[in-house]
Amino acid sequence: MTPPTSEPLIAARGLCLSAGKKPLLRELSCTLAAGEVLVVLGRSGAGKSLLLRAIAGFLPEGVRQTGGRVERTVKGTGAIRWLAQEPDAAFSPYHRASRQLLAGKPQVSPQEQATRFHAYCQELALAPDLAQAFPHELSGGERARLALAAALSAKPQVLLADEPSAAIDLATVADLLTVLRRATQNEGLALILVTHDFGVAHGLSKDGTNVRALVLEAGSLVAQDSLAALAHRPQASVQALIKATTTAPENPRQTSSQPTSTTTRKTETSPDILQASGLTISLAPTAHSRQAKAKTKQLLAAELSLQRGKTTALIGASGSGKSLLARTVGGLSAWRDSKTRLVVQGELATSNLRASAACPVPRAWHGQVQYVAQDPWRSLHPRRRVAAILREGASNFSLPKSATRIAELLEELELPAAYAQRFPHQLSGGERQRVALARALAVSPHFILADEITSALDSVSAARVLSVLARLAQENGLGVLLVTHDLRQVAGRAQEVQILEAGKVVESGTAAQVLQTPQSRAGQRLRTAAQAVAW
Amino acid sequence: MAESTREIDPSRQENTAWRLTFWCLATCLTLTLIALALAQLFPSWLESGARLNPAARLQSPNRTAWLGTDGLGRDLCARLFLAAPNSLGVAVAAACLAVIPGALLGALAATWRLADAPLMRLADALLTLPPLVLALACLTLFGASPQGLIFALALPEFPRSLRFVRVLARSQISEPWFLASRGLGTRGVALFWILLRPLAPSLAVLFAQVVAVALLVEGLLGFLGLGLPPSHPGWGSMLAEGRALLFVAPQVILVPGVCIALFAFLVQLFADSLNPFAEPR
Repeated sequence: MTPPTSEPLIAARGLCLSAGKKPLLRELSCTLAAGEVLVVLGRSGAGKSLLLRAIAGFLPEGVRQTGGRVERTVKGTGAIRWLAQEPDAAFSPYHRASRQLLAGKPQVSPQEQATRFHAYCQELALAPDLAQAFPHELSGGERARLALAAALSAKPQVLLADEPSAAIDLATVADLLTVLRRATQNEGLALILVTHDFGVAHGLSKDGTNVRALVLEAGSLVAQDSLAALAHRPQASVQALIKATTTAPENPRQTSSQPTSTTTRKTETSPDILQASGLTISLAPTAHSRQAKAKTKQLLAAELSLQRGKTTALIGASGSGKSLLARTVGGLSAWRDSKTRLVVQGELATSNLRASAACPVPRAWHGQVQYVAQDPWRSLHPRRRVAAILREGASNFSLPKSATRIAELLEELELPAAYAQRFPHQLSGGERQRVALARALAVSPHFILADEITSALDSVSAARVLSVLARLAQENGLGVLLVTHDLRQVAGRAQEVQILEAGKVVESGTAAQVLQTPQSRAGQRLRTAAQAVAW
Repeated sequence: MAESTREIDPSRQENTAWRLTFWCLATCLTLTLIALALAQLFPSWLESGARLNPAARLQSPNRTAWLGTDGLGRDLCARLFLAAPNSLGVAVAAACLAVIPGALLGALAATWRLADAPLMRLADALLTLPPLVLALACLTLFGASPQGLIFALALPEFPRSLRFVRVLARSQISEPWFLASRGLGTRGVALFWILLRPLAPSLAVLFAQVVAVALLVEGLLGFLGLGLPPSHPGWGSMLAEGRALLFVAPQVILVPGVCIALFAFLVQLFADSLNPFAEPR
C-alpha cells in the first residue's frame, strides 16, 4: 500500500458555490492525497455532485464559484478521470464503446493501457471484446463495469466517481467497490466517491482501506472524519444516513397476517389470494423485421402468488424481468405500442375475479390490484395538482373523494394536508413517491405491487417510503409485492421471497430460508452482493 | 422532515425574459383588439374606408386621411380598420378549423390503433399537394367567399397539426404517469382528456403559429386576386388593389403589407413566448 503522501493532490479551500443569489455550497474545505479515499455522503440535493464538479473544474451552467478555491497539483491532462452517475450517460450511442472509453490522454503508454484494460476486464468478469460492442448492445451493469475498467486503465492519479452505484444492481456495485479498493491500495489512486448510501461507503472501507467521509447537508459540511469514527457522530443527518441503510426495521411484524385496524371495506368475500398462473410474455417479430432469424423470443415465464397481509419480495438483478412481471400482474402489459409486439398469455385471478393477463384487463382488476411505478419523477401527471391525482382513481370506482378523504390519505402517508394544492414538481422525490402510494391507496386495493419504488430515491427517503408502506400494509391488510434488487430492503420486511433470473423463477420460499441459505446461483450472488455493502 | 431537492435550474433566467416578452406581447395584442373594437364605435369614420371619393384619390398621409388614400379615394387608415375584423377573423377561424380537429384526430390516431393508419394516410395525401394548389382548389370549389377562404387556409394546415399532435400524444403515452392513469382504471374519454391536457401549451403555440401563417397566406391569395370579395375587404385584397400603384403611390400597398407582416410577426413571437408555460417549473 502506498503511504499517503503529505502533499495533497487536490485541495478545496473555503469553496462557495451559488446559482444566482442562492448559495448551493458553503465554505467547504477538503483535501485528497494519493492513495486516499474520500467518500462524499449526503441526501439528494445536498450538493455532493456539485462539489465533485467543482473539483473536476466543470460546473453546470448557471452555477458560479463565489468564494474559495480549488487547488490541483496533479500533472498532465489525463490525470483526473470522471466516472458518470448513469452508465448510459458515459456513452454516445453512435460509436463503439471502446472508442469512447479509451479516448482521452492516458498516463501510460497505449500498449500498457491495453494490457491494463484487459486485466481490469478480467477482474470485473467482463469479456474484453465487449468493448467492441455498441452501447445499446450492453446491459447497464456491463456499461458501468466497462466505464470503470477504461477509466482505471488510463492509470489516472485521481478518480472522481459520481454515484456510481445509483443506477446499477447491487452485484455490480459490489464488484466495482472491490476493484476500486484494490486500485487505491496497489496503485495509489486517489478516489472521491459520491453516494447517498452508507453501505456503499462501508463497502469501500473493507480490508483495511482507510476511508475518510464527508457528510453534506443542504450545501453545508456536517461532519468530516474517518468512516469508522463517523458512525459515532451524534448529528441527526449522519445518523439518518446510517439508519437508512441498516437492514432490519425497528418493529418486525409478527402478527401481520391479522391486520389490527378494522377497515370498513373488508367484507367476508374479500379476496385473500392473488394468483398469476402460466404467465408467459414473449416478443414477437414485427412485420417489418428484416432479420432472417426473427423468432419469437420469450422474455418471461413465471407464476406468482400473493396473500393479503403478507409481503412477498420479488428479487432479481437488473434485466431479470421483475418489472415486466409486476406490470403484467398489475394489468398494465404493453398497450398501443407497435414497435414492440409483446405477446402476453396467462391468467390472473383473485378469489372473486378472473382475468386474462393480456391487455386490457377489466377495470375491476385495477380496483383490487394497484401498481406503483419506479420513477416518481415521471409517474405523476405533471399538470395536475396532488388532489386531482388522488381523486382520479376514487372517481373511477365511485369511492369517497371529498377533500377530507384527500386530507386523510395525505395524512396516512405522513404528508401535510396543504400538499393537496401542490403540483408534483413542487415536491421532492420521496414526497412524490408517497403521493404515488396515496394514489394507489385511494382506490382501496387489496394488493399493491411496488416496482422498485425506492430506486430513484436517496437512502433516507427510501427508508421512509418503505416504512410507510409497511405500516399501511399492516393497517389495511394489504398484500404487497416488493420488487427490488437490493436484498437489504427485504430482510425484516418480507415474509415470502421469490428470486427471478432471466425471466424465470429460480427460487422461492420463506424469507428466512431464501435469505440465509439461498440455493440458486442467482440467490447466492445477490446475497454476496448485499453483504459487500452491508453496514 | 424537510426534503429539499429543488434542482438548480439554469434556464430560469431565460424563462423570466420569455415571460416578460409574453406579457409585453399580450399587452400589445390586447391593445390592438381594443383599438379595433373602439373603431367600431365610429361607423361614419369607418365608412370613409369604403366610400368612393375620386376627388381625393392617391393623397399622401395628411390630417384628414392619416395614412393617405388609395386609387379610389378611400381613407387607407379607415379601410385598414374596416378590413381588420375580416382578415383576423378569417385567420383565427382557419386556425380553429385546422387545429381543433387536428388535435382531436391526432390524439385519436395516437390512442386507437384502427384509426391510426387511415388518418395518417389521409394526412400524407393532403401533404403531397402544395399548399397553394390546395388553397386554389378550395377557392374554385367554394367561390371567393369568406367561408371558402377559411377552408382554403385551414386545409393545408390540418394535416400538419394532425401529425404534430399525434407525435406529441404518442410520446406522452409511454410516460409512466399515463400508465398510472390506466392503472387507476381510467378508460375511454377520460383517458383521452388526461392525454390531451399536458399538450395544451403546445397546442396554444401551434394555434398561434397557424394564425400567423394563415394571415400571410391570406395576404398572398389576396395579392393574387383570390382573397376576400370586394364586399368584405381584407388586408390581402387591399394588397391587390395597391399592386398597380406600387410606384405611383407606394403607401397603398405598403400600409396593408406592413400591417400583415407586423401582425404575423407579433403573433409568431407571442407563440414562442408561450413556451416557458409549457413546462411546469
